[in-house]
Amino acid sequence: MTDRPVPVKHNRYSAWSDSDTFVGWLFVAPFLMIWGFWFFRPFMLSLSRSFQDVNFMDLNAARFIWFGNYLDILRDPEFHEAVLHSLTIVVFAVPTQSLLALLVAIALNRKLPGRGVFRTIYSVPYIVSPIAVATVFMVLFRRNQVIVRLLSTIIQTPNVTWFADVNLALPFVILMFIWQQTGFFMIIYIAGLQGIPDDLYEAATVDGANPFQKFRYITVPSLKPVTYFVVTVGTILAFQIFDQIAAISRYGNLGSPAGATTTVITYFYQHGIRYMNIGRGSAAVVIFVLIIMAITALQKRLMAVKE
Amino acid sequence: MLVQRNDVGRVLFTYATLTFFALIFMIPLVYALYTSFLQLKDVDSIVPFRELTVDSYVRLWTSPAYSLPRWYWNTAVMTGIIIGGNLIFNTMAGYALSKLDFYGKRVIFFIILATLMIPYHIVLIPVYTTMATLGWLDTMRALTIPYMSQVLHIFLVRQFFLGVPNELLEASRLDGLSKIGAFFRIMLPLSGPALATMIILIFTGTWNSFMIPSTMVTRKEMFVLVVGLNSVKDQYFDRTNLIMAGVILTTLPVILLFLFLQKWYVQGVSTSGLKG
Amino acid sequence: MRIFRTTMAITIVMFLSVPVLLSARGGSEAPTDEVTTIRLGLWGAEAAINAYAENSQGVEDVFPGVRIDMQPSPSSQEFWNTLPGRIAAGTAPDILQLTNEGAFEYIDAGLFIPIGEILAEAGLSMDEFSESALDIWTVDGELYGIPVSVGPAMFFINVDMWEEAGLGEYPTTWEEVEQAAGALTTEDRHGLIVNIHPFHLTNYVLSHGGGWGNGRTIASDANEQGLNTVIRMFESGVAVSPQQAGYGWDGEVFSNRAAAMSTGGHWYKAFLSNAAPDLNWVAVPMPQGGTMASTSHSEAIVVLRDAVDRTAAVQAAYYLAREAALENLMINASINPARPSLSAQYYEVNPEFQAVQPYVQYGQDFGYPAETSRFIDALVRRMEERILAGRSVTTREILSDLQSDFQ
Repeated sequence: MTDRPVPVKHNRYSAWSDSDTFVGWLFVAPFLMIWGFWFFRPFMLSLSRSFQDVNFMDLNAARFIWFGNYLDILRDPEFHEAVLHSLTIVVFAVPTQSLLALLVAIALNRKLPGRGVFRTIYSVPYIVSPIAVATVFMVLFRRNQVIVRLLSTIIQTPNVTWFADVNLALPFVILMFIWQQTGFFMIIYIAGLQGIPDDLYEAATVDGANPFQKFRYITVPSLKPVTYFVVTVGTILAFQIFDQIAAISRYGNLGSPAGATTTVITYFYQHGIRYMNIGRGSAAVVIFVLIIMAITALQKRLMAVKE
Repeated sequence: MLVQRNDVGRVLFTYATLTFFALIFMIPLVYALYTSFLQLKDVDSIVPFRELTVDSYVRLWTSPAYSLPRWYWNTAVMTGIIIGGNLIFNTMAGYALSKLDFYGKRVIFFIILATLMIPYHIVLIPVYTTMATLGWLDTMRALTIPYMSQVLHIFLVRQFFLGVPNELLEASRLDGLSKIGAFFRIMLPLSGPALATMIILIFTGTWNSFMIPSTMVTRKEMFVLVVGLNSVKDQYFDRTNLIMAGVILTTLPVILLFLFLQKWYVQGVSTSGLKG
Repeated sequence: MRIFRTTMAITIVMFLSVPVLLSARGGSEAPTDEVTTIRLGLWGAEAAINAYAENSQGVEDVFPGVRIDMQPSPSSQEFWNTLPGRIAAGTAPDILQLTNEGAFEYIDAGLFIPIGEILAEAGLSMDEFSESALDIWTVDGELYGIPVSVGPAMFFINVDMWEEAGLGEYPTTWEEVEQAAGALTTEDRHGLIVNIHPFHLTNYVLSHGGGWGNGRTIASDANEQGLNTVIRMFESGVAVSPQQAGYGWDGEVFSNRAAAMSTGGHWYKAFLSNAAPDLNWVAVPMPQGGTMASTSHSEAIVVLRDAVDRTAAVQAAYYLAREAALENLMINASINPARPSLSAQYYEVNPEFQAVQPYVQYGQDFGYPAETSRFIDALVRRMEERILAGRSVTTREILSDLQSDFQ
């Protein structure tokens, strides 16, 4: 910034515009107002439903039943299975997609002619609607197709339609999910890489650092806030995975085959929306949120991120 | 000499790898494009070029059941308003949460994370009821106002702002800028890539959104593209070729935006800005 | 650490402080002006919606003061997802067009009202409607819908494959189907498609003399036999589910020639004429497992509990099912009309279904328990566990479990 800004005149407002508390609250006020009216209030309404036995036909005839809905859910073996599937998705998808996204972003951050086109292409899986992606994957992973045959020779998976097989349906969903999410996080990593000042690398080159050292001591620490975002949001999105599952069971049961792809969110969807059991659905969401909170708090400690 | 040949080899190798993966990444789009030019009977099979047809597109554009120009317009207005709101409100909130120190900041950050974790489905019915009470159903207000400041993108902006060195802000204070002034003069000019990223992500999310528009709008003239195209469904079966033509019509604007924003995307932080 | 403590503290506070917030009830008064607008909720094929738009014209000439306003939903899913909100907000439609497949759940919940008395008061006669359609829409002696269409499930056969295999007469029993399926199964195709889906499974149990009896007769011997037939054909490798074959639903497997036979319905015609115009197929009556029976789909117009004006709503529904309206739907949306006076014309236009015409009277309602969606999800899941996951459980056990869950 070669042109220095003209110093602000000191008038009686400058004390306010210089106070962290005033400016802070002023700047979050629009968000808080929108959030309070359009999210918090409706959410509290739904939350109160989780303690009620309530029929969608007559919302005012609800009966207060304390923790009845919660106990029902916690005792339901189908819920346990759903939690297990959700955790599986998180454990496999989050590290894979984060690492892949970072690698692709680094590759595309070089000063190559035409990288804009490549970046766009690599984002395509994220842009295209999950329905289209699912349709293609369902064709590609059909019995007797090339990919299925290849995989059956390489990693000994049976030659069957993946999304109809009770053991392969969940890996199939995870694969589609990673495919789509990697593009999303790549976009974020590229922007993060853009934010690292070039002079840091230049200084390191002068000091004789090799590329790996630069990556380890400049790129990784500089990307820490972005990585925190990628992992946290990645976990939340993996927990909320729905479109891909709905797509493979478009004509059948949500979570088919035989419940192999049920997750906490499909459980909520079935009870809260499909069976119109609003109370039970709301209780499922509360349990769901508590689980994600515990996991993200754990991740935070593991990553030792100071926010 | 040797070094140079090595370099050429490396560049070629990089391009070859990038192109190889690019081809794989294009498969869904290519498949959608190809299928959209098929007749329903040819779906899932390879046909000679002359048997491709634009029937699906013609049908989408001309059938009285669809009003594509109107739906494009609605989608564009909805997306525009939401991007505008988020650009203003999220950068403000992101700045406050990353560079200011005030009482209650941690609670607000917690609120943002917690909101992110809650599936939106759960508030949909109460929001719908409120919209009905306000008489906002079937209007643009119902599609935009609650979504003008989204937690995911506040979180994103905050994380990017955290990466901006504090020294820059301290220097600006010596120049006599207030906290508000620093936001406009320092933070915003430095966050090109962050804002471009946010625009891309919000655009993609809003442009493709289905759940909210399909709930809040029942009048055909107010449909957005994805909801309108979804009504292409037959009662008992899907017309895959029509669906894919819809996918292409929906996706193209996003891809164009991507290509367009690339310039801005890389411009962002130039070192000169940081040297200040 | 501090953020974690804050997190927990706020969570606990939020949890304990859940105030009993009651939504303010938007007061919606019945309009007092002379024109009553009846909102028609519907979804479905574009052609059907267009036909309904035409059919709703001119209602004022027959029933003065009544107007019909179309409120189409993108699909049934969007409609049902938002219905609770719409009821609470007073924006739900007054009348609704839907099929009988899931209707009992809402009749039982009191969402739809019986219309017999209102029809009688308004002097509207139901004599010209098909007996079997009226049966389907009658629950505990009360009529709940004005039928628009009625058509039985059928059995579809790929004629070329059938003749190639040197098979003779088309099958009339499941035993014959099973034998033929064996002969039709080759390296890259299966003899029979069994979609593990409530519509198809219900046809197997009905044709074995069973049925769900709205939850009363789930654990019957006949149902056990019906489902055992399905399991047996999967185990001998002659049957395949659409998903196993790599497709979404049975029609796609059939049109892609990946199997030779399937249970299905009238929608096969529209689908196959687009998806496989040169496929040579035939529709025959549902094979028997000792009983002549199949499901019947019937679309009808029902009146919702909160309709602004019940009489006007019934009049509007009646108007939409008048002869000319059904004729329009028959010609443009290929429905099988619920007025026998149009039947001759229907089979003239749809000669493919003529073989089934004498069997229309054997068509029945689905008879699911009141908690329909939960029941069909549970049924399909148990059957998938048995067939696809190879879980060792007998059909008897599956059915008794379901019976105790859905009394």
